[in-house]
Amino acid sequence: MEITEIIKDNYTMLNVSGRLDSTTATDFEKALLNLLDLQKENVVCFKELKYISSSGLRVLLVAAKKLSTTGKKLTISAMQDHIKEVFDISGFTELFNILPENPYE
Amino acid sequence: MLNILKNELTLESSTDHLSEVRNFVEVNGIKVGLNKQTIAHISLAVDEACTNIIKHAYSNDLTKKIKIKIKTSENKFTVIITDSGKHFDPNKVPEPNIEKIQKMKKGGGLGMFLMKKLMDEVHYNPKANGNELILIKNYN
Repeated sequence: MEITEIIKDNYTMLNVSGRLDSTTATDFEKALLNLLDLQKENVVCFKELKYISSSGLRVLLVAAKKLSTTGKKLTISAMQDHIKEVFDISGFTELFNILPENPYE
Repeated sequence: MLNILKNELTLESSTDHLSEVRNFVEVNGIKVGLNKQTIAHISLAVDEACTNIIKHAYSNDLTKKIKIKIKTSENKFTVIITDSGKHFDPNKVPEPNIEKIQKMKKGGGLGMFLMKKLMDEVHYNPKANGNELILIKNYN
C-alpha cells in the first residue's frame, strides 16, 4: 500500500493505492487520523486501491467517529467496482459520503 | 515461512502472509475456472478468517501455524482452515447491522459478518486442540 497526502488551503486528500488489509491498516489509520485534524473537508481517494478487507473498513469507521463530534467532513471517492461491492455488502455505502469520482482531480 | 503444496498451504500466524493466502486462493480458483468476482469473494473471506485466527485464536503469537486446504468438486469450492488456538466459533459472533456498526467503537465482528456474507456456507468445528473452519462457495 502507498499513501500520498495532499494538503491544500480548503481541503486535505489521501490517495491510497495497493492493498489495504490487516498488515497495512495501521499505517492508513495513522495517516488518515493525522490529516483529519487539519481541514474541514477531507477526501480519501481509492482510485488506485486494489483490495480492502474489514481492517481497512474499520479505519474509516474510526475516522467517521472522530469526525462526528467536530462537524468536519469525510468523502470517499473514485472506488473501483470490486471495492464498492465490499462497501455495499458490509453496509458501509450507507454510512459514508461516497462520490464516483475524485472532486479535486 | 510458507509451505505450499498443490492445494494445501501452511503458514505462520502473521498478517504479513495474508497476500500469499489470497494468492493461493486465486491460483486454485483460476484452476477450476471460477470468475474474477467469485475468486475475490472467496479470497476476502479467507483473509478475514485468517486475520481472525491470528488476532483472536492465537493472540498474535507468531510461532503458531495455520493450515489451509482447498477441495473442489463439480460445483463446490471448499476451503478448510485449521488452527491450534483458543476455541472461537464465528457463528457466535453477533451479526452487526448498520445501526450497530455506527455505534461500535472499533467495528468488532465486521470481519466475521463479511465472511458470512461472501460465502454460501460457513461451518465451525471445535477440535480437541484448536479450530476447524469450513468455508463453501457454490458455483456452476
